[in-house]
Amino acid sequence: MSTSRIRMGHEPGEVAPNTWNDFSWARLHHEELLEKYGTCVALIYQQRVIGTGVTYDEALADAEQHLPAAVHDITPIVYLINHRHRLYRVRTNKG
Amino acid sequence: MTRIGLELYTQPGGAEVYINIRRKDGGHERLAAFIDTGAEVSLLPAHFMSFIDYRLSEKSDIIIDQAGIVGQAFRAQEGFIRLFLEDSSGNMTGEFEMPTWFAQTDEILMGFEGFLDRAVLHIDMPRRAGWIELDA
Repeated sequence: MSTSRIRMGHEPGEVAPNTWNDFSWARLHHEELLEKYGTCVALIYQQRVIGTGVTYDEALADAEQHLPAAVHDITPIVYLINHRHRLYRVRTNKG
Repeated sequence: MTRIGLELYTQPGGAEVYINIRRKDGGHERLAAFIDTGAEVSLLPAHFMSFIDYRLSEKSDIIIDQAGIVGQAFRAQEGFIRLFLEDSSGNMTGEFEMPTWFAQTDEILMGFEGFLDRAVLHIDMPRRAGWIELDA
């Protein structure tokens, strides 16, 4: 269920202390995250993006690679940063 | 039926529900999923197939022709996943199986087949309140 330092997945009913705050934070800062990281899979822990990638596996590897050596047993959320706007741009017929 | 609170937001408006998909290793992955009343079937990124537990349908590889303004076609794999719903107040449904399309997408959409077609959905945007009830 986990790499050596990053714990992914959980048992039913198990909620890490950071989970709901991190989802709220990500939702609140969605547009800023999109501007900074572009469309990607992000791992977020305690209101910080700790890894990103085009895929889940890439995001996990990125987080593992860049975590400080002293960090152990963290429980990030998986968050998809994407375009919420289905309509890309709205303009007049004059351009 | 268990009532699960939704997460609502504006500009643009939307409603999300927390889903917990069963992983290959037996655990569950918690994800925020967009409720899409325009989607016939739920949609997941294809790269999720590396870690979530699924079984492919008999059709497996399919091509979906989109109707409407967009009118594009995309490839997908049709399968079934197991999941339960949850909210931040601790409410949970039981685990259930749902059909899904795995496609080259960057979003998680919850559509009708096996999900919304068995649910009661309530969205009250002026009060920023919403919930879904599902018999699972």
